[in-house]
Amino acid sequence: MFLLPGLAGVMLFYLLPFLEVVRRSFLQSGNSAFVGIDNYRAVWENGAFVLAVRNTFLYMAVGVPLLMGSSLLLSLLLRNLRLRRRLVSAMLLPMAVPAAVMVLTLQILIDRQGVINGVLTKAAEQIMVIPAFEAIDYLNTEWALVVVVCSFLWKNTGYMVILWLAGLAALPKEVEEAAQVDGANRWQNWHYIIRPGLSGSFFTIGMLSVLQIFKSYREVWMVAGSYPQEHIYFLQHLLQNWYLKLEFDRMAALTVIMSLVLLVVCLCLQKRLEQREENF
Amino acid sequence: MQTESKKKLWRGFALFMVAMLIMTYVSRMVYVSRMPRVKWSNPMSASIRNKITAEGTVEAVNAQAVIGMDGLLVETVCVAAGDRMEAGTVLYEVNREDLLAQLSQLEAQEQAWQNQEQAKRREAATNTTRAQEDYDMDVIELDRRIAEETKKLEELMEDLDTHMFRIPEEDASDEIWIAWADERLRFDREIAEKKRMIEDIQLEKEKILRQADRELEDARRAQSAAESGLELGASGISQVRERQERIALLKELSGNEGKVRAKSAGEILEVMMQSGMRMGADAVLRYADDGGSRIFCTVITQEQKPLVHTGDMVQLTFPGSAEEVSETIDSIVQENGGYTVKIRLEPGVAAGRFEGVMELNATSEIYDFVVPVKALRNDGGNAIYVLEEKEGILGTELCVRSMTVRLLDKNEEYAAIADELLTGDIKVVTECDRELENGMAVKE
Amino acid sequence: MGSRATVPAWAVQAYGKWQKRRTAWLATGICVAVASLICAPLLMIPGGSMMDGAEMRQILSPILGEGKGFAVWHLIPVYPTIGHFYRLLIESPAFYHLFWNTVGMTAAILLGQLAVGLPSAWAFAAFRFRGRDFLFGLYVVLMLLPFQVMLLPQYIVLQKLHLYNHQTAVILPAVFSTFPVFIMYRGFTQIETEVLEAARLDGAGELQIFFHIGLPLGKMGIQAAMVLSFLEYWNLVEQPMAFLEEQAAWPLSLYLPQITISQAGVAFAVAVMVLIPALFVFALGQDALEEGIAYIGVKA
Repeated sequence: MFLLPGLAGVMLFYLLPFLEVVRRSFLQSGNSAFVGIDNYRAVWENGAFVLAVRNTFLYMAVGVPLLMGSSLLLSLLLRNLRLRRRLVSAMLLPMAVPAAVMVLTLQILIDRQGVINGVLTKAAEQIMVIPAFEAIDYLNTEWALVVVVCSFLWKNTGYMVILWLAGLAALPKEVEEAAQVDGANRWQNWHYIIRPGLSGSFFTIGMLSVLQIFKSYREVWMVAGSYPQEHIYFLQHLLQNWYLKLEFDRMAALTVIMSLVLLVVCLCLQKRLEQREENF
Repeated sequence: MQTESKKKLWRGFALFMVAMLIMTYVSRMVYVSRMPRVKWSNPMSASIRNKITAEGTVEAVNAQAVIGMDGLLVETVCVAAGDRMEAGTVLYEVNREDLLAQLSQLEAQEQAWQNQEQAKRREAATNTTRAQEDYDMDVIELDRRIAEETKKLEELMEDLDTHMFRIPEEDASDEIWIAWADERLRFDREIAEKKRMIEDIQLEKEKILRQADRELEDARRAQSAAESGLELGASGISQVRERQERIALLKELSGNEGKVRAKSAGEILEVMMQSGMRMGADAVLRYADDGGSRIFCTVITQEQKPLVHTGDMVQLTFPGSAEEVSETIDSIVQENGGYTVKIRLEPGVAAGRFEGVMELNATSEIYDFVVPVKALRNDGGNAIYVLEEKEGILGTELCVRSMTVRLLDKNEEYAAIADELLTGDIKVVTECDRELENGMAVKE
Repeated sequence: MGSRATVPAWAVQAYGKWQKRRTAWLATGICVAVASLICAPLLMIPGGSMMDGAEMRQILSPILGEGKGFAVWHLIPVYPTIGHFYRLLIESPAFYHLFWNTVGMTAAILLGQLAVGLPSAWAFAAFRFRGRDFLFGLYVVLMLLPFQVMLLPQYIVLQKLHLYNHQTAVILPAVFSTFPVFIMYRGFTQIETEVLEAARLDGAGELQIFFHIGLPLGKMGIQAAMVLSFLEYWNLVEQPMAFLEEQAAWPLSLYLPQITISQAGVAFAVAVMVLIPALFVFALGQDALEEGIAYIGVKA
């Protein structure tokens, strides 16, 4: 069977250790005494956990739709342009930039005394004639989440655009042309032809967006460190910090919780998708 | 077209990777070639032989002086300080005219004195003779008087005897008897008187003879005094003697044409006269006799002090001379910031040398950590570089780490160090072909 | 659209053209604007890599906490220098060491993913077997799990296998990552099932089908997966940071975070050097990305 080697590896490196973690989530780290769901309760009652869950969901709720929407819009605009390839290349560029450099650039730009504040101050003075523009300390106020979302968008828009474009390219051109001939306006075109055609892509791109948003933790961590401003304290921070503090029992519990949540969400999505496919 | 540009891209990518590969070697080469090469050794447990070398001066212990010719005029000075002199070297010349003048004057004085002395002697001898004669005459006169009186006495005695035989008859008149008795009484008186007179003369003779004798004695003493010149007194005699010596000296000097020569070989240390000066009885020149002792003096530093002890054997050499002697240190005295070492040399050693070099081989106690002295850096405290393996980006590398140590002792080759962190198997960098810095990666 | 009757046909045509062109121009304008907005921060990189250290310190002094006012940035350095590149590329082999570490690790991961993921993807695409849907669902969930969630399980298994602090600790879990399986699977699903069945009927062996039908047709999907994997692992940070303590085993991406903002010049120089291979891969793989991922969308 073709699947066997891969499956073996997946078992070895993902599933078996995960089961081990499940087992450990019921034990106390150190003396391995069975403590039941104490670890889960400890996680649940942890203030940082609540904060992290809230932030993570907020981030995802804002980031994923924004990313998907903006990239879809862009890809719709781009679809028939001659410059398409060039522009897509340009938009893809951030993907290749090492995270550390991106972080460095970000720091230079968004520091309280950074370039962006400088430009804004000048603009406020000279264009809008507002004498005292208050410099924003982006990373240490609620703005932190905005910064994180923006950088997430910056990095991944190109990626998603290309995915959308791929989806759009796969639509049968004839249908659209026929519709245009029939005098369908743009909105109709979108609503009746493009949107249903993209529903498959929607699921995939949504998943990849989620994947990317999880990966964007890397930049957040590098910009703001292990204990960032409280609006961008995510579940990953929590896990990483517990890992560094060797609090494996609580970490195991949290791991299990997060995996379960993801699994459930995935299953639901898949179900819905299947239903929709059936409907369609 | 599409595949064409792809090919180009692939080629570019491959080129880039090849370039990176080449640059890897280049940078590695640059890195390695810039890396200092070091040699290392473990510290040994050893003692340190210290060779201390100190330059010093040679000084004469007792400088000799040449006493000037009192009252003579210096004509020319023939030597200067630092000159070497041999026995017979002309030191200076005196003015010969002045010399001759003084000589003749002295000789005249001497002559006069001699004459006077002779006259005195002659007079004393005459006096003695005269006193002898007086004495002899007195003896004869008095003896004659005594004999005369004795003869008179004997006559009286005979008269008396005769008288006694002419004793009056028993019946002789009283007058007769009285006359006879009177006669006899007179005789007795006269005899007693005569006896007394003889005694007196004898007393007088003794007295006169004693007198004469004393006079004779005086005369003799005066004579012998005159002959020996005793009557001049001690100072007189020395004066005379001095004069006579001086005359001899001046005569000799004039015989030498006024040149004063050195009596022995040595170095002139100081000249205290100049031409035209009239000399006093002080030293006009000081010199170090070759035959005399010298002292070698040198100053050692605070650091060297613990290695040098009184009684240590040292080697002495004197620049410009092949002499090499072993001597022992006589004293070490602390003097303004340093320690003065003094070594008394045997008489005759280092003659003619003013400088010397002392060499001392001192062996220390056994130190635990002795490293080559090259391993020691002195930029602000003593430190060594130790070789360590360090985990870095390039894997395990040899690195040097600076380590501050206390310096216990050292010589030209080795240094003894101490530190709590030192162990026997620490790798101490002894040689490097480049300036090292703390943390620098090196190659062996 | 009632006006169409009153205006001449050529005008309508011209208007339509104009309108089309206008929308095209508008769209182009918007897209160019967005693209330049996205690229703008990247323009800092070449300038920064050639900027003299003193100049950089001066213009960034407010950020470094030494000055008042705001930092500025010179896109073109006033005192350009190649000193950073010289230091990075000539003076020390450290950069190359890490560079080849990264190349080696990425290559090993990509090859491993090909060797392992390709058959898996083929299996999901070409066969219908019991539990396929469940397994595939599992793969998707595993793909989505953030690394931090897998941190503890992987840590445990790597400890057990004595791989901790070794490059394989990063390579092996990555090799068995399910993400490329997912992408490649999408690539394979585009092959019509009829083709496979026809081949089977003709008596072709499964291997033959895999090599002669699956690989050529799924090429773009495979390439797309490889490009995405490359970009992912070329900039790997968390995994090596968690599992590699020894600096000598680090990839280049861990070298960068060590550089603070005050030495930004070197960081930018490194960025340039890191970008070059990534750009090559991009240029080579963009078609594949567009076409390969295309299949993602078509069939869910």
